[in-house]
Amino acid sequence: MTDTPTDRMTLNDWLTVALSGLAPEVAARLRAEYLGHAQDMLEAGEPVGAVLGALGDPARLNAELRERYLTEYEAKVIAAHSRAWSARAVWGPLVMGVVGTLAVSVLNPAVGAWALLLPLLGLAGSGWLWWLARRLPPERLALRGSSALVFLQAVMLAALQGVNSSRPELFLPLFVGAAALAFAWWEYGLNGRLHAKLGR
Amino acid sequence: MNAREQLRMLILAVLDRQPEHGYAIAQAINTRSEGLLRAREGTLYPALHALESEGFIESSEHEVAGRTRREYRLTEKGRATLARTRRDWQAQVGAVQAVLGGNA
Repeated sequence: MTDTPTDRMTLNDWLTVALSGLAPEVAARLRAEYLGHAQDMLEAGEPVGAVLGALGDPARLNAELRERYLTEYEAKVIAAHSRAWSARAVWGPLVMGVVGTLAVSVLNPAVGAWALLLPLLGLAGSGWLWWLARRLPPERLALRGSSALVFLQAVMLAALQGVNSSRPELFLPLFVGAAALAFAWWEYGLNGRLHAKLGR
Repeated sequence: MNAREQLRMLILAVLDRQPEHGYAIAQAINTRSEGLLRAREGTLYPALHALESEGFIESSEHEVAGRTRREYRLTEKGRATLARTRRDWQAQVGAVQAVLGGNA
């Protein structure tokens, strides 16, 4: 080893800038690999300046790393979703559909057969969540599952409004379609980046 | 082929010979290209992680002389991809060579 405390501090500075804002697990793995790489170069007789030069501009690298890996903030968002998601949530839409049907049948008997759409929608929603739960790894399930649950709650409320309206054949698809668009915007727009990172 | 794709191909080609750790991969690329290809070594590890998550390579940690080193090796999927990439690259080089040769 040829480095001095000052050199180590310089390498630490490089690491601090390069790994700034990344999720702790990501930063720990990258830090270990960059340190190992630097140590190999130093043992091969390269001066610290050459080591840092070979590793590249830390600010530019940090921007690239933030594009590819989870940031500290994104890791917190996913952790919050993970805490919010529960396996029992899968049955939420079905329960909402059944309760909604009972409520609307009592409060507005004129609704008639349209009320049966609510448990059917709830069943479809629960089936979708069940399928997601089988298919996605835990982190992605927490993210997509909790968004899907919010979407399905919106769909059930929209369907309840539609069924209860004067023209259910018009308002039901309109409300459900609006909720679907909002979900697509949320999941593939705002959360799309997170899903892409988790899928890597 | 952009710089990122080029780096991925070079990594797979280096690992085709034998498993290596990050620094040795960077050295092999530099040495075999006689210094012409020298990636910013900071980008090497993100490329390795991407190849690993896509299943082209795998890694494991080893204790060597009191240090923990992560060694990367090619998977069968990576080997097949490398073979295909080599064919595509040869075809591309051949095509460019044919055009350049005609002008010479």
